[in-house]
Amino acid sequence: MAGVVELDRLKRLKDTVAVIGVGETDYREDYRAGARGNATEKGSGTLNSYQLAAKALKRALDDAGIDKSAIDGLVVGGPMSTERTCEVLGINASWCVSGDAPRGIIAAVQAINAGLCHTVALVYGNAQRSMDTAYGGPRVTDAGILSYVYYAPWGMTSQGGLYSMMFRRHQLQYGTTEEQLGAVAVAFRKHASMNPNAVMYGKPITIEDYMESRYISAPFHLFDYCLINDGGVAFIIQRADMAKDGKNLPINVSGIGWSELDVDSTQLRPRLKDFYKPAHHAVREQLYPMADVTQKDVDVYATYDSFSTHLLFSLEGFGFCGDGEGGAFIQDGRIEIGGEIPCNTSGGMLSESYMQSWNHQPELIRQLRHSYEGTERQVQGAQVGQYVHDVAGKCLSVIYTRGDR
Amino acid sequence: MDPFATEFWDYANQREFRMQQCDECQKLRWPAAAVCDHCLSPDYSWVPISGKGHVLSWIVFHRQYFPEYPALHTAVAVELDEGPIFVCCMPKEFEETELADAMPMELVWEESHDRHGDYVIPLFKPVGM
Ligand SMILES: [Zn+2]
Repeated sequence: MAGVVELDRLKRLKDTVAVIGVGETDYREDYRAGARGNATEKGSGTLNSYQLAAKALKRALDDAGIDKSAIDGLVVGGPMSTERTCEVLGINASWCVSGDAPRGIIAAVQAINAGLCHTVALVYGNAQRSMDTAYGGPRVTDAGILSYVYYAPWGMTSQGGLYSMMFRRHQLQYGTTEEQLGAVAVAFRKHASMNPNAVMYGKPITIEDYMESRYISAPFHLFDYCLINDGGVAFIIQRADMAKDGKNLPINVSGIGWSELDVDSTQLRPRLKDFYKPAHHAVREQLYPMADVTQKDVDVYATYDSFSTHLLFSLEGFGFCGDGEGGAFIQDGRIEIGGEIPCNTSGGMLSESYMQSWNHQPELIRQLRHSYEGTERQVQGAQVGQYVHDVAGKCLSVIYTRGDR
Repeated sequence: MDPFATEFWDYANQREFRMQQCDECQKLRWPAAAVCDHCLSPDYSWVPISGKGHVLSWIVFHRQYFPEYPALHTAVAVELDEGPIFVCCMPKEFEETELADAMPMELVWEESHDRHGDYVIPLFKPVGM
């Protein structure tokens, strides 16, 4: 049952593993190359998911200063198969699972503590733009209007539509406005404008641009939607006592939490009635006590952001502001670098890269390492980072902290 | 198609709006499924649903996803009097209607067809319009 965990057992896992290396592909360069090569023909397959994952892994290994032979565990994300990924990357692991980034991190914490492995590479590659992947519409169903996938018979299959419907409910219940929500897209785009690897580098938008942008599924505007681009991400997690002597300052995994709300989710009950907050509440009761921090200690925050509203709902659910106060809370630069709680400081999936939870992790690690010191991108003195994964009733979260040398 | 969804559409073809009710614990479930998610019983009956409810939320697609539904297309979440939330759309002539929170809605049947043949689909419209 959600929220019931054995906290004393969970606390023993605090700071037992650390992130020692991160790597990403060239999101912006690949996006621009794809746009040039495929101006009239999207989907001609310029990039391959395995190629992207391998490039990211190479960079993560170089960053960590370790050899591939040190990897004895693997987490595989995106459209790649685990077996083929191990084969292509030339790794005979003693432990291997598939999943998104937070599932992978939580599984790796468990596996390392169980003694199954000690150094885990988490890799993701997704050539979704090259492959012309569809996330909604008739290509997802393709068997007539009555084929039952989501609400295809009534013309409703888009993930964006589902989140937009959730935002409308928030508007009706609390009076939240489109202009208030626009602060998310503007802030993330501002962060992307500081990040040369972001797809939307050098393309800031104003709240006026947001309000004038076309609706896709009203109340959602174009800028409430994430990008679709190719990319790969990798990071390496190691047992904390081994990580102490490594090349980089280790970044500890200090808190983990997981709670799901799947019952009645297809009829949208937990979405429209509760904004998934019971899951947020259960997770925050796990990971803040485990990490021995509170919301006030979180210096840099990242949320899964296939749509802008993920931030609005999770800030309320995790207690950064009260229920219904999210619209007002995200104003006045509060969620921007330099503000009270900088969010998605790389630009996130809205403006950096749609890596489906993966690109948020290297960004948090670099912020906590103070890798951007001396630039406007650095969150000054960042000690504690939080990632929130709140996706269609699956809520997972991770707290990272700066380790010792 | 899911065999349980097929049963729903077979009733719809006869203009009967029904949902599965668990024979053991009486829980109504939507969408159609193999077992009761409360007690796991595989036994169920298709019980008539009143077709009355109210608006919980809605969105307007400004982009066309399906040839059957050109933009603008409104999708609406109706909370049925019996409890389940039914996500659907309205007949075309109500596309311009201004919806509001908790607005009473009622079932209407519409005949249509796609490349696989004719079908009858349950839609909802504002009560008294
Ligand atoms: Zn039952």
